[in-house]
Amino acid sequence: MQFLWLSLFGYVLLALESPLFEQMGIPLYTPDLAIPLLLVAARKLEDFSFLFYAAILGLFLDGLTPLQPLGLNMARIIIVAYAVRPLLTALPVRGFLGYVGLGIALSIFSDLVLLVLLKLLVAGPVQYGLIFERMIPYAILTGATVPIVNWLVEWIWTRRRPTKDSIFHQ
Amino acid sequence: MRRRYSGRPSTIIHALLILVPLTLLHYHGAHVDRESSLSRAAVYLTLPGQKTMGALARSGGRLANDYLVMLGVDFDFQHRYTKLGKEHEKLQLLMNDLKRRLDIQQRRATMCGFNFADGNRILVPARVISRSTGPVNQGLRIQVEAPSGTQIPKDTSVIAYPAGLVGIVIRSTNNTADVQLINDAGATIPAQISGTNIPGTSYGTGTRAKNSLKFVVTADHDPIKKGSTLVTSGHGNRYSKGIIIGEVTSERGRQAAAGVKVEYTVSPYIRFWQLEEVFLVLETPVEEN
Repeated sequence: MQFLWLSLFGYVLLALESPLFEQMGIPLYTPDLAIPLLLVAARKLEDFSFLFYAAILGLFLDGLTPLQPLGLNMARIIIVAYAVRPLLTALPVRGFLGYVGLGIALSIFSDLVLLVLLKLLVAGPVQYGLIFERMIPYAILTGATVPIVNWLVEWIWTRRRPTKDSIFHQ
Repeated sequence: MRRRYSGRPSTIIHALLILVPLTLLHYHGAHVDRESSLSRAAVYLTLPGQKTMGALARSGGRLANDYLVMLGVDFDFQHRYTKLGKEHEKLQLLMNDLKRRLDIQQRRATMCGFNFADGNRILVPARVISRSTGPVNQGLRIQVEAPSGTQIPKDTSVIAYPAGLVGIVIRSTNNTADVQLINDAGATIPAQISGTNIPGTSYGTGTRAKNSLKFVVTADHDPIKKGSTLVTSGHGNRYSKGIIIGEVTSERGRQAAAGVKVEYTVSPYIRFWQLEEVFLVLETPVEEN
């Protein structure tokens, strides 16, 4: 159930972010919302569910982006997902700034993974310079969205729990 | 509590989770127009959300804009409104005059028995639903305003009003299509300078910068003047002929390929990131009289 709910939440959020940032006039700096979603899911889902969730997020991203080769985001997000849990265990991540920092680090790691995948598995011209050019601002923006997405998930999470006086409560 | 799985089945699942996306990427990344049932399924899966959320964001943006105007945040609004009104009136007059002249010319030509070369083309309107600005591609996803099930042929040219080439259809799913923009690093367009016979090739540079195209010609031609208009030449039958691409912005050409070729920078007429509506140039079968 948690898996389905988080998948639906991810679907809505990923579909909304691109047109929203276009409306704001900054389409090039649309944050990678898959990173905060992964950080939230890491605390809520079990091992395999978490990895499948990463694959689903990647599939959504591949479907949402025009002309994107299928598998690019899926592979990238799964590789990042493999790094999330060891990082959360190894680093003493506490509070607002800790999660922002972790989001920034994961975004940079995700860009480096993208670079390797593009170099090894995608034919045709790729703007490698653009990846480096936007890496830091992109990472900062992605890091800043971690607390927002976390707060949003928790806010909805507390509202979706049945209360004791609900007639459907078991 | 989180459970950790171990053992042989778990190793197989871990290996599959890594290998399946890599295999998919290896297959689909081989060429920009590679597609499969799975890639179409991914588009089908995300399309309803993309359309709904896009419409929601657009109407939200308009609402916020209107609210700001109502609050008086846009102090210059009245002045800009009057200026735009005058400009609109002037353009309307110009357009009516042009339409009238074109109509007269067309009637004269028909009376003389002249057949228009482009008579077998129709324009189909389409709405932009998503854009890609990443390092891999510069592209658009468009929804054709036609009944569901309409097939959009691959390699259909896409233009925008008033005139200007936007790109070419690479993939299509139902009545949506993915368009490769002319500034994509992989876009190669046979082109020529309007009014001359200088053929060459236009290449996208993959950036959103103003001069995002380069036009390459052989060095044995006369230098191209700044401000010249670049149009599609129709060679290779991939892009329709005579569509405006952009304007040459470099004062002089840059030597390329050991002096055999000359390279000019070109600025496209279309601002791709402001596009809301485009047209597909569909070739219809010529009716025989």
